[in-house]
Amino acid sequence: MQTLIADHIANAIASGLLVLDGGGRIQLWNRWMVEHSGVAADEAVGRLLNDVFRGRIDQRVMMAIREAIDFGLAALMSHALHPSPFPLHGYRSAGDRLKQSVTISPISGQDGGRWCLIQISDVTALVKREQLLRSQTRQLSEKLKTLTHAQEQLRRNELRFRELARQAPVGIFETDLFGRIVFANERWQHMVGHMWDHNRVESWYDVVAVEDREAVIAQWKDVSVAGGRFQSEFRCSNRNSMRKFWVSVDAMPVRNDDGQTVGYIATAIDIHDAKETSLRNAQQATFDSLTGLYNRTPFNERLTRAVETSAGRHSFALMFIDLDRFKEINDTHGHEAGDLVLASIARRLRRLLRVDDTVARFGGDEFVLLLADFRDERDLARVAGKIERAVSQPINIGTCHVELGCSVGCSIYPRDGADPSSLMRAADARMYEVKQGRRQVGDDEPAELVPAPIEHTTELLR
Amino acid sequence: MNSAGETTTAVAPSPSAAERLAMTELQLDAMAETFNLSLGEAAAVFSQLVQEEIELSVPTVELLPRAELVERLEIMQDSGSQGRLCSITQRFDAAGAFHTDTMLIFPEDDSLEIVRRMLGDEATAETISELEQDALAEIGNIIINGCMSSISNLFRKEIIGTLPEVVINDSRTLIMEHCTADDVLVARIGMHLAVHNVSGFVLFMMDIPSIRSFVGEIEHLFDI
Repeated sequence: MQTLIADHIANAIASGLLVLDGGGRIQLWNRWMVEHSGVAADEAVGRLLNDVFRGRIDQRVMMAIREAIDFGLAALMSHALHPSPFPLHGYRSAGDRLKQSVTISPISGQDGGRWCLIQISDVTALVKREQLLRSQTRQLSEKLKTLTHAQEQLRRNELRFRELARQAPVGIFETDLFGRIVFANERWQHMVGHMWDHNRVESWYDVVAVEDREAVIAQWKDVSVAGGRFQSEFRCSNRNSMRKFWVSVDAMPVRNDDGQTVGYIATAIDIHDAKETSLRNAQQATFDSLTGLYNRTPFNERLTRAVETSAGRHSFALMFIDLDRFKEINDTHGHEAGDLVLASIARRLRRLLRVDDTVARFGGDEFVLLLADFRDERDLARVAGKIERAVSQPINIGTCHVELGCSVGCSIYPRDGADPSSLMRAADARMYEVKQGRRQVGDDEPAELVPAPIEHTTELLR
Repeated sequence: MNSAGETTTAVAPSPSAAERLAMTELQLDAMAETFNLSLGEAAAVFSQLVQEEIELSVPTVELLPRAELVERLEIMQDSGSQGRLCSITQRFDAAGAFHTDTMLIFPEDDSLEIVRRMLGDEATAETISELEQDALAEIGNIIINGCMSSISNLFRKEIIGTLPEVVINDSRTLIMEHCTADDVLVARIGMHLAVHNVSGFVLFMMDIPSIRSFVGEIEHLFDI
């Protein structure tokens, strides 16, 4: 009965079961063995393993069987080292040998001697699974290697960039799309006297000097909204020294793979000295350094513009003023005194004028006025009178007061000329006439040089 | 075996296990020679199997209290990056004489290295797969069987063995769960593969009656 149950179990089990007696003859050959070897149980039982399989068994199996029977040692034959020790195949298939894992254990035999139990498991599916896993692992590890390599490259590039940025003789900073500082090199931090803290949100334009900030922010916003290039020159202030300095900033958009602007990288060059020089040159080209009045060139430009905009419809007047006895003061009191006189006269002229009017010094002791708007010639005469009175006031030259007069000549557009040069000529000629006339009367006293406004005007314009 | 005994071992300078078992220098030498012979056999089988020169160092044999063994193994465990040990265990029974749990122990990393070298596989995964564990069981099986069959030949005694079992764990759990004996017979061998030095232990865990019986066999063998 027990043998019957044991037989049933042996046949129901999903692996190969083989029992060999002390002489190595097969005593049990279960159904799994039948199905996978193609040898029926009654053909196998009673025979030697090597006979049944015609010698196609791994010799290590035979040795392990001997060790089990002779010495009582159990053995395991793993698939890894013995992939297919028995010539077994899939059920009703003559394909490749089954992949096997085999255990060989000593058991007590029915005859009281030592027998041997062989268990064979089909590990084909397991092997396939592990091979798949292994290849996946290998692929993953390859990917990881590539990724690690890429990361290393990235790290190196980053290092290279940082080092370049550190050594660069210009300020470099990076911002996000909203102008918030992401990175600033040492040079830029030094230039603006401010260390950026990664934990604080700060806009790059926080360091722009107050007088330029509004314009810079407006320009930045216009440009960054469109993802364009930002180029500008403006003043920044150093937060430590409070020094203001000119910089030229050029910011190029940084785009991601999709072409979207994600931020800006900007270079900032200290152009302070060059800018100051050029500003000074521009100043000198425009203004007379002694009096701060316009020079000849900008005055001429204004005159030309006045002719163009008036286009024959509006009147304006040109007034030439030549100081009388200036040379005498220069000769008597020296050039410095002369300079003081000129500066003083310029100051007085400026005070007399309206915002629209222009006054310039044409070198030496010659001044020119452009009176943008006037109602009539009486107006003009009043202005001339004011000028003569202002000029004739005593001037403190440090050591004493000096007094001098002036000759004024006028021309009116478009009556006296339709272009700047004819207007100039006309005014100059009138002024000369006035001076000559005054000399002929031999009236040298400044107080007496001021005629009645109406009369004077007539004389001026005649 | 009882907790009081363990406490004594840990606190007071107690006599060594060998002294308690009254083992002489001569007996220990004889034991070393026995293992030297048997493990040499095992190495030969293993070397043939992997077709690679494997050098086994001369084994050192000691009788150690269980707690001390755990400490020794913890040192070995520290050198492995995973900090775990891999053991292959088989139980042997020499009817009427002694029974022993024979364990072959490597650091987990070394065990992976051995098995992957043998299978010609790159060490890709960090954990051992089922088939690799099977292969490792076979390797242990060959070494342990080689050793035990040699002892069986020397003693002219039949020693019945079970199938190998692979366990990967930290040394304390490994020893405490597998070993009920107070004293352990420890044979340490070093295995040197061509490019990788692997250090392993072979442990014979026996209770005192078994050790006595084992020593008796050795005395008989060496006629001492």
